[in-house]
Amino acid sequence: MNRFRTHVFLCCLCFLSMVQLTGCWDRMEVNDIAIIVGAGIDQASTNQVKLSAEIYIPEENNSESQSGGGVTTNSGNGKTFVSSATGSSMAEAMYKLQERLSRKLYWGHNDIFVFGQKRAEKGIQDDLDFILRYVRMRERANVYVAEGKAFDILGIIPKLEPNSMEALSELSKTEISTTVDLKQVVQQIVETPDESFSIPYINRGTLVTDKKHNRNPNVSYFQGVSLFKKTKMIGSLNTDVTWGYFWMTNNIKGNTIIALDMPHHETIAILLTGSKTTLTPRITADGKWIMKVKVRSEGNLLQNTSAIDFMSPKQHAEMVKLANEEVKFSITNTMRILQKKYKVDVVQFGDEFRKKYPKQWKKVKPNWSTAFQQVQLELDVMVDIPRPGFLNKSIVQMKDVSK
Amino acid sequence: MVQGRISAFQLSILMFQLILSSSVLLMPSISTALSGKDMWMTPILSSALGFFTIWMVLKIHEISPNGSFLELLETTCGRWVGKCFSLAFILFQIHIVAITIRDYGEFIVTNFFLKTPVQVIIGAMLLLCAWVVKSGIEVMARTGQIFIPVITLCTLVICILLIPELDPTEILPIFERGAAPIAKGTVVVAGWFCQLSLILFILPLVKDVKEVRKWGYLAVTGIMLMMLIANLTAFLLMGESTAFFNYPLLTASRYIAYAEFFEHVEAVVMMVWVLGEFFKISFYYYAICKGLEETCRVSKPEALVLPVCVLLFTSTFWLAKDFQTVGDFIAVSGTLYILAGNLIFPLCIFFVARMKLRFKMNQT
Amino acid sequence: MPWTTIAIVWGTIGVYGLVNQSWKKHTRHDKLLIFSLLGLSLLLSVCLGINPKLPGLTEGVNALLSPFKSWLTP
Repeated sequence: MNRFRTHVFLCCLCFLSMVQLTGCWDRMEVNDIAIIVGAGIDQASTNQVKLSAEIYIPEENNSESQSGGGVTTNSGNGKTFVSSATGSSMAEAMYKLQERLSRKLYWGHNDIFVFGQKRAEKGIQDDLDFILRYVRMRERANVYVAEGKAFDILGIIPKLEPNSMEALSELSKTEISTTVDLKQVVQQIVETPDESFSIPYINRGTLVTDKKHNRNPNVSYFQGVSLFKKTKMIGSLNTDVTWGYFWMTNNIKGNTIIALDMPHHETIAILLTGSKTTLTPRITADGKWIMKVKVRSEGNLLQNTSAIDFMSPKQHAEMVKLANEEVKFSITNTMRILQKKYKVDVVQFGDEFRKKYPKQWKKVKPNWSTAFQQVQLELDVMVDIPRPGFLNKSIVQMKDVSK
Repeated sequence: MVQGRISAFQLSILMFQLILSSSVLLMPSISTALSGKDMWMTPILSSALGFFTIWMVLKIHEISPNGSFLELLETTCGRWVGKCFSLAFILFQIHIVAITIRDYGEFIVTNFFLKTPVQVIIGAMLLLCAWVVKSGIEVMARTGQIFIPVITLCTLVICILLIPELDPTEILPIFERGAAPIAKGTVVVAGWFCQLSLILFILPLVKDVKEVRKWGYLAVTGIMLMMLIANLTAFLLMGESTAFFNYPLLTASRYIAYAEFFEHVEAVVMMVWVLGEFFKISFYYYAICKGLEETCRVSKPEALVLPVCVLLFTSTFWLAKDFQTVGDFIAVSGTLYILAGNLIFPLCIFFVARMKLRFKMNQT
Repeated sequence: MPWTTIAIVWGTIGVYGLVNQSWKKHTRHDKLLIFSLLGLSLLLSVCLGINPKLPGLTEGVNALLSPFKSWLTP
């Protein structure tokens, strides 16, 4: 009798655990979710937020071929559509967006957040709170600011990539831009006195090709970085000035091209293979704050139409000097704009001073935006150009030799 | 509850996981809030208290009749007063484990199973722990021998995978805010280390008590190293914003992304958490059952296991008005409470017992 | 706690006690302890059911240790 009872009990237990294993309450089937691959946040009318979500359309798998020779379609090439809703906050907008969709919104694959310019200027901290607090989001998602509306950026179907999320992610890995993810934004908000940080600035424009060759040639591209102070956008740096910013923050990647301005419309261009910038803070005895910027870079000659002969050591040294001057000019220009025009420290000067001189930093911290303007630069730039490419003399000099 | 015996090595493995389960996940946030950039020093400094706890527990074990702390209470304070103290000590442990269980349930419900009722999650864990406790301490120790290296390995793998993303200069400047914030952080972390005095209940079951000193000190060193690694990983990744995330290691593991396909590693964190908490809760559960068995002179300890399960389940919800009170409690008065109960109380009993013994020896 | 949860939990305990009757074989002393523990839990559950926001041990300790709170706040 006892054994029978034990058997009955064990059967009940098995049945109960079968019910438990399916995870009744929280089950989420793949065909019940709408996967968001990009999110845009715009300012609608005053105090209203427009949330646009680019949602992935799963393609039907047509390769159930009987012949067995079917090509399996890469499911990453599925199309997407953009849906948007407006609410008084991002959370309410998400709720309204969900109303229009037959599937549950799933944020786990979202890798980009694009803020519209007006929203960025109003301040993004409300949205940041939602994004960071909601447990399904990812801190690795990249953040961008769009000139105009984020909704327009999301709608672009690029030529080379399956959707705009892929395009932006790949574009930010190249040398013309940098990636800023949510973790870095939060870190800057907590650690800098002015909550200052910078985010890549993108624009929608036409592909640089003749309209005859491509229909609907729209693409999103980078045009510098936008500057934030107290989580509000206060301005942006255009592409030229952004180079100086990248030099300062050690964001110069390989494949960057430096083109030197020469008289008589000559060009010297250098293709960089690598670069390293180190910042060393110093406070002199009479209380002057100086930041020593040391740049060590290396590149190969890409184009030379000037009279400077690469193979002659003296003239090579002059070429290097010209390259150094170009970089120095770029850095000083950018710093002038950051210090005088925008008065915002997005180059982590405050952090460097804090690590080396904590006591002096503590005194200056409440007025850092004023003190930042007084920081002087000491530049030590060295751009080495070891190799000339395939040619040993420039085209200009070749004509001379034949005489 | 089969009365097995375990070796000192097995006890040290259980001790290792007892402290690490909740501290690896919760501690970086609390210690960054208190100590700022110097939070990495707090495990190193409070491990001194860990060593002291082991030493104290062994000294108490030496002068206890039959090696049992609860019997020492009865001989020191008289039979009925001693029993009251024993029951109060057991009630204190029930309170602490209820906080632990509630924490476990809230973590799972907040981060993974948003719609599942928390009672289901806590009930499932308690039933599993009841099964292990009923099978005895030997089964628990052997399960630990199998799973605790797995837990440690997974935590280390997460920390190693994050090495490319870490920024070592985040620690600078050292001693930025002076010594007082570090001291506060150390006291809070010491609140975790002093939970080692729970082994007072288990020492009578250890075969080679003489080895417990060596293995105990090794366990404390191991705990300190793991805490240091986990703390540094979370802090060097997120800087001072670590203080604002509830579960920094979970946030850190979500950050892992290699070659665009090795992502979403937070499931590993969940596994580590569930397994770790299983060992912590069953250890406490076993200690409470053993304590009740000794205090109330129960002839068959198996009878107690399921009633204690029900009691733990109910007390998890009776704990406080809502979880915010518990969270607030853990951060501030909870530390003093747990230090008083786990450290100061046994220490006082030890001194009183020592004095009584000397008095007796002087008389004879 | 909602009454349905309390009902399910105690119902399960009751059914388990009826099916697995090994508890009857324990001594009177043990049975007294088992039932006092269960009675205490039942009392707590019922109180929680009546007042879901029942103040617990934590509030008591918090009140006791409130003068020392300033020691450990950041």
